[in-house]
Amino acid sequence: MTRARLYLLLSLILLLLLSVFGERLIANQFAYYYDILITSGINVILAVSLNLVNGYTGQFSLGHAGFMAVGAYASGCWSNNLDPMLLSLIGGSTNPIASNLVFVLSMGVAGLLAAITGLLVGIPSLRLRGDYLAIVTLGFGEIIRTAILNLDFLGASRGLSVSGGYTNLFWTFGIAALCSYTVLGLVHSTYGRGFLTVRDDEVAAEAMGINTTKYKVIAFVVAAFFAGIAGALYAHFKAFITPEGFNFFRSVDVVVMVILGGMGSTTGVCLAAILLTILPELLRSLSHTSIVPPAYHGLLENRLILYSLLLILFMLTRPQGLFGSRLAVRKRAGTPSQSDG
Amino acid sequence: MEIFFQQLVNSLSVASVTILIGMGITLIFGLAGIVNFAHGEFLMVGGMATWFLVSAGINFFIAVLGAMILVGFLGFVAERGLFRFTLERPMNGFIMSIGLSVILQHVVIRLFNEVQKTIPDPIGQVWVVHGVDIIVMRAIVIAITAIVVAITYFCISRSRYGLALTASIADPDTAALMGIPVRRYVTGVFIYGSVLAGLGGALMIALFPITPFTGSVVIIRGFAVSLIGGLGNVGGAVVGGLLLGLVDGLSAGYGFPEWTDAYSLVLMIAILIVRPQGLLGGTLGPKAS
Repeated sequence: MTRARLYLLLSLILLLLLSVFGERLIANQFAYYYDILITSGINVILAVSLNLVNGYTGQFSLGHAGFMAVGAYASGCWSNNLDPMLLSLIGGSTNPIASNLVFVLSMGVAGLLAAITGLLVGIPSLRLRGDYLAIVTLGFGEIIRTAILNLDFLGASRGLSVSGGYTNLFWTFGIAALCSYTVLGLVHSTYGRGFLTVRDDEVAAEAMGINTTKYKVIAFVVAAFFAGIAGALYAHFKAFITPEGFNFFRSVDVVVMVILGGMGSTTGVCLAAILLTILPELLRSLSHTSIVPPAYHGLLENRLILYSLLLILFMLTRPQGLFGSRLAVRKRAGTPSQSDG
Repeated sequence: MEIFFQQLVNSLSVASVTILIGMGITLIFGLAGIVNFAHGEFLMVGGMATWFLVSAGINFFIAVLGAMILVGFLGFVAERGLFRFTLERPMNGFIMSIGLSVILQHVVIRLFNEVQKTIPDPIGQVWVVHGVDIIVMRAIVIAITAIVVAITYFCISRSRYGLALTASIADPDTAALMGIPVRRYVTGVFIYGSVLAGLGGALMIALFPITPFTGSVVIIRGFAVSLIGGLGNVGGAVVGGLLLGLVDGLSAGYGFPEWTDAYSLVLMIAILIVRPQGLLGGTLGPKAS
């Protein structure tokens, strides 16, 4: 057993213990902190999976919220329609093992559907690169949102209420750990070095016989799979989802986490995701003290303004993010690089 | 048949605004190599400025000029203050402009509010031609767009400045050696594109209400128009804008208007997959593949 696998197993056991013995206590006594905890876990999954595409493979996807939406709605529909039947088959809704099994199935469906969507989005990425790809993925995200807005069985703009509420600490952080493990394992394996070569020099990689197309598509599909599962966790946590929860700015949130953490650094991205979930809450509590004049309360409470300022600041001064490597920041093709390395 | 012509006239005026946005983006993206996601917000600022000036009692057409100057200045500040530093890495500029667009949106909300703004129709007359109602303001919008398109087209393809611009995007180093101030041209194109956005916003508010969130809807259509036509190609932007305007107008009249946003995006993605260089091609900017 390698060290990474040992860590994964250990963290999963710890999480299981925490979830079994501490879940109720935290959820009931510290509901506010519990909410932040689960949200940051979901954000970690989203950011780490997007980092595989944007950071390690050097593509630029702006449609992560679209995959999340596919997962959330798939899981919601599945649970609303099939869970009662499945639960009655394997022993009632009061049995914790049965309800968790049902949730795994629901997450699996969400991940698979999102992965299939990722495959469909990955196909144009074979032909487009850089800014074009960003605009096309953005377009796909918007198409998914428009589709949900107009499909009546998904609740259209009224939103969809999801029964179940199975999301707990174990699943959220267990999946986050699994996602980090998968991404790191992929990238650090002999096989997965291909992702990095696509990013660093696509032409040279192709000349060495690396199937760059295959790597790009794999990156998209894996990222979409985890985004779908994150969507399922989100749907079962919030119990009510609307298309507006998955708009363009949700994708931007995730992109900010990846950029701030550093493209191509899983540790950095994890930290950034947690930091950017907590920071707005901290600022909100700060804005209720007397230090800040009342006129600026709204400004501090607005997560998007904070994120935007961070984006501009980081792009101007430290484009590789807090922990990123310089290689992940692409220059315009044809311009000789000076300081890359 | 009269309904069809009515839809055609209406969608032509919508298409005019779309063409102005698309042309600004196609110039900035294709000729300066900058992806400005805040372009839609520039348009919104132009519309808001027009609204502000008109409600202060100023004539609409003078307000349009004011909006164009304001947005041009905004473009100058954005290019000199932000995009100048990311010219080497266009992706970074793109990410930065997303931040800029959010900030502009919130500045406008703070200055005014988030309620939608309208101005009274500046002309307020209607022509009736063979049973088709033509609102005079819409005809004026179409005429202004046609004039601006013609001027831009001739400036870029015929004048020595246009030639220098083309040279400086085709090969910046050689162009600089030939004595072309490349960076100044980049700034110039950026400002010109921004002025077009200001004009688009001013004309838009004469036709429809504008909210501080209009920009983010408009920008995606703008990118669709410029990518469909081919980046850096003024004629392409016109074709793309007409295509999208027709699709919109006809879908509103004949079926499933709620899917309108999806139509334009599907069209864009399909064309990019089949023809990455756009319908008319001839892009001088960054290559798609």
